[in-house]
Amino acid sequence: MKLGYKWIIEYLDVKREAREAAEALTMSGTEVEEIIHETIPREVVCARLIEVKQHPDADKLKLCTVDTGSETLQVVCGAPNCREGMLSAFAPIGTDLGPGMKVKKAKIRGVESFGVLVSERELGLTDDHTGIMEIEADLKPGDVLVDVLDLEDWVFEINVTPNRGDCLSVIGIARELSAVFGAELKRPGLSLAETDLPAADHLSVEILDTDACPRYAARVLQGVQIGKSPFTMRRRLFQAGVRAISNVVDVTNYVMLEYGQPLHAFDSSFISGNGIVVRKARDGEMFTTLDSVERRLGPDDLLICDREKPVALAGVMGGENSEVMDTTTDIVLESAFFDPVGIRRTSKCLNISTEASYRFERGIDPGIQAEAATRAAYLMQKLAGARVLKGVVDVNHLDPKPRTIALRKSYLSRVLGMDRIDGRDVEAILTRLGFVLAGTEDGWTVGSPAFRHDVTREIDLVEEFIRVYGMDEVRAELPTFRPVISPVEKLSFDTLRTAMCAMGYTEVITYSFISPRWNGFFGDKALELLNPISDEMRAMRPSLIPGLATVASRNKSLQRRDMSLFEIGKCFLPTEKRGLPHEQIRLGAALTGQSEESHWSGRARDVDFYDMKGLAEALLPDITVRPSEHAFYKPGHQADILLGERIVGHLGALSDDILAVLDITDEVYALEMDADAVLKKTFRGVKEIPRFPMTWRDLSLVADEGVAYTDIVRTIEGLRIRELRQITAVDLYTGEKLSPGKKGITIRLTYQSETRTLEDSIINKWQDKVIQSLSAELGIQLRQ
Amino acid sequence: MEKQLEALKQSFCEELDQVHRAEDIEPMRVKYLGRKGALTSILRQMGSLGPEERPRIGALSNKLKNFIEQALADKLDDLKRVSTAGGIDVTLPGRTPRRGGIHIINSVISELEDIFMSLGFTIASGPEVEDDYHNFEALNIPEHHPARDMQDTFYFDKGILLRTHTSPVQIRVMEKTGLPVRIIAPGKVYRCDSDVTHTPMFHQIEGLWVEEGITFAHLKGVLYEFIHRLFGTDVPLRFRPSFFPFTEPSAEVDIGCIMCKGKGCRVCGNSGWHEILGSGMVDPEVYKYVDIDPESVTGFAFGLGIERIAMLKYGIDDIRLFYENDLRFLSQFA
Repeated sequence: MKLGYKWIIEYLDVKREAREAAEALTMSGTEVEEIIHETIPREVVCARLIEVKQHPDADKLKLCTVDTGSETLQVVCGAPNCREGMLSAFAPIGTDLGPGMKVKKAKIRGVESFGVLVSERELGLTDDHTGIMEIEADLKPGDVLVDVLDLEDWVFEINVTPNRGDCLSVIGIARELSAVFGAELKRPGLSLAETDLPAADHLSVEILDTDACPRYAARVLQGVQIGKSPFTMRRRLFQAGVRAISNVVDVTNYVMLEYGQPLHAFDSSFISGNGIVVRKARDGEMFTTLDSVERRLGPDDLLICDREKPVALAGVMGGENSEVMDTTTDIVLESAFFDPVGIRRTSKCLNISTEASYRFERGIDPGIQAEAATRAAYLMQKLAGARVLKGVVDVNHLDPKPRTIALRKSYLSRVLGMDRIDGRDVEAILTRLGFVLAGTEDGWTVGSPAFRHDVTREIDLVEEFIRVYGMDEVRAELPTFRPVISPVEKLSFDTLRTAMCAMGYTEVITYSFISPRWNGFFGDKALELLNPISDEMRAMRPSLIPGLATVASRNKSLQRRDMSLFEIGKCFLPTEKRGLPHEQIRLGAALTGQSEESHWSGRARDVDFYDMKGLAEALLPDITVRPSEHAFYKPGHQADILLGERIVGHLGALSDDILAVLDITDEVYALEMDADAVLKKTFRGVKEIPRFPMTWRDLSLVADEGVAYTDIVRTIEGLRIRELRQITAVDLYTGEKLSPGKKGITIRLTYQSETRTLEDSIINKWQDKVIQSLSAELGIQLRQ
Repeated sequence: MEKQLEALKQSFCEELDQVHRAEDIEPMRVKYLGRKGALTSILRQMGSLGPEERPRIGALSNKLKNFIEQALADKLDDLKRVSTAGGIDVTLPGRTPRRGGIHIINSVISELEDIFMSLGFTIASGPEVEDDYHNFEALNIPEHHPARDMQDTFYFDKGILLRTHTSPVQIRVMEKTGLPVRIIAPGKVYRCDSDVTHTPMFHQIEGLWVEEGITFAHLKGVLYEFIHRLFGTDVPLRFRPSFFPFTEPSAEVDIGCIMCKGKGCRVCGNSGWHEILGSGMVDPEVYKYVDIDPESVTGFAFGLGIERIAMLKYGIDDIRLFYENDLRFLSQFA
């Protein structure tokens, strides 16, 4: 909300700098986000047009002789309202009217002009550019306008929190300042002259849904003369971002800004039967609002109708069929209270938000309808010559019972932690905010004003006190506490991250939502958002691999070839039952390019499957793998990772389809593991360090290509030779020297005993057993 | 002629000082001692000398020739020694292991966790896919409440959504564990927002301390301590009253701009302050949802955005950089 500061302090008995007032508002909970300083150049003066003649060479231009107080100048002017005798604003040569708008001596169609007569818009005062500024006040030529019209002002851009509907008004803001500065709040003028005719004779009001509309007040005005509002009113509306239309409409907006009470003026010649009926719309009922949009309504929307037809969409926007126009003379002025929830629903469903709906949604003052109507009638009388019929037609179903809340002094201390709170401070602050206090044994009974529907509990009063008293006044104090031991989970994740970094992997964080086109690769249908930012971000990731692959692809396009990436994050797995999905924290990794930087000592090697597998083994030495058939990996280049019999992850080379989609030409290897499994490394106790020497024996074997390394290991382990400590593969050979369908593999067997030095004879015996067994079980021969 | 020889020696010495590569030595030799070299061209003038002068100049020029030869040889040795001490060129680049790095957001989270743990908080977590009850209702944000305007929520089904803040962890912890509660809960949160200052996914840390005797003064104490440890003790703080449905009184906490020291600059939008967290005393209404008697305890809660802290701490001005995962950005924090 934007408001001019001079308007605010009109209702306040206080003299403070705008900046100081803004700071005070911010520090008491009504944030002033920006202060816009407005002024006009001092060179701009009041001038009288002594003579106005036609320009000799241009139909639309006039030659004006202007008295600027100090001299008489010739000025060329194209404004339609320029006429002899009028007072206007004159900017002499050299005046800076903003960027690119410095006034220069100019020849216009052959006639010299010594300055310009300016419009309100050119001065930045309103958006009126229909002609040069008309000065209505009794001024003399030469008067400095910024001084005599008091034009310097500061516009506050105020961010009102959603609970404070009462602050969406000049009076609401002034009330806040009155509490902070301890100043008196003043009320607007209401001294109205009514006719003898009772308004009730000219208007009946019937509310069919008193929940949606608990109060409807109206005034009847006759004989208005539609015209332009005075400058100050138009400027204040302009500062608030409200367009000036005509005196009658401007008054409704002006009073809405003053009181926070939205008003609507109907042209009563379009109100059939002199009656207002408030009712819910029928399903599918059509209505054209004054923005000329025909809208389809539902049974939740509320309508203001006459005896025949709807005339306004309650609380949101008036109807095109009863709008005030230039020819309007008689007016029905509405000042109602609508249920906030209903207005919010209508505004949301129809996607219209107006100054009125914004205020109704946040809850307006339920006690102010009649006063606001009277204030508006008073202004219409003053500015449009309206005859105001006697009385307010007021149908009121609101419960006028005031709320009272007990406020204990002890509670204030208990929540705020302040030892000494002076009761007089509490009383002064709450009273200025509009509360009524009566002392009790341990505090007060507090009557809450109607406009503070947000204050219903003791804690609300604590907040009211401290926000005005000043949160900075509370001294900071550390509570007593026991030291905390790092939880295992934090330690493990920190350690895992550090380990991954040490192995050269860079951590990434990708969005939890991915494109549904990944669904094909990851089987089950992913959990999908109803309202994603884009379709590319619709599915909750069932795997970290899409994110990692996308990062690899993006960085490849940024000329990065070699990458080791990892991410630790949640994957979302829909469950059969309705309700929340299963969230599993996983570790994902991706590898591509070369295993190390290019080096002068030799060509770097491209990464392969075994680099990725090595990472899994480094993290969890006890894992085994089993060939797998995932759609996202290349067939024959992938495996599941097992811990015992449990599958805890998988790894492999990304499938050609994925590489094609991501436009990657190099191989990308990926791995994904359940973080729980990675973190649950168990410590099995200290083993004794062997005291006797180890012996190694290499065996060069020839096996069928179909024999897996793990078959060889399992066969040898099946012999249960206790002294056989380790089996490793030290060479793998396929080539011309072997017959087709065969591969050569060299394994190294490490023997060691805990009790003695092993002799060759015994080791030879074991070696023979190994060879025999491999031959018998797997048809493996020693290589000749 | 004697002077010419002197000058030649001088210029040779100066030029030799500028030589840093072994392959530049031979051209120097040719330039000074070659058949068309500088010394030879001086010696050609010997004929113009008297017989008594000749031997003296001859000896001098011989001496200079030897000097140049020796100097070039020494220099070559020097240069070779630099490049191949003990047989290898130690100046060639080594094999550097690849350096990884923790994502800046996670390292900031870890830093904040350490600070809060040292102030007595333990770490809690909750689901990212939440239900309406924990994300809104139990936090005193009923349906149709205008506060829901503040958050644009990603929905799955009726009542199932991506959490818009880490605050639902407050409810989950209070439902599960007894009092006192002293937790922080870092994690991902989601809102339907995507522009220069918003990403649809970001990180928050929630803090909650509920115990008999906890006051607003304690909230201030903890947050002062936290900010001073994170940004230094000379950073000013201010508590600005605000509104959150689940705390009352509520305060936004601003810190003095680190860039301009509060004078006002582009980074802080000329205000001299940065809004960095929301906080307040737990609203008694919230206790009712988790079966705690609001008359028996008090507590405070706070929530802060990790990205904001990271941006302030490292001077990053575009939040999207965190999730573009451009390695040229990420590796700067390795």
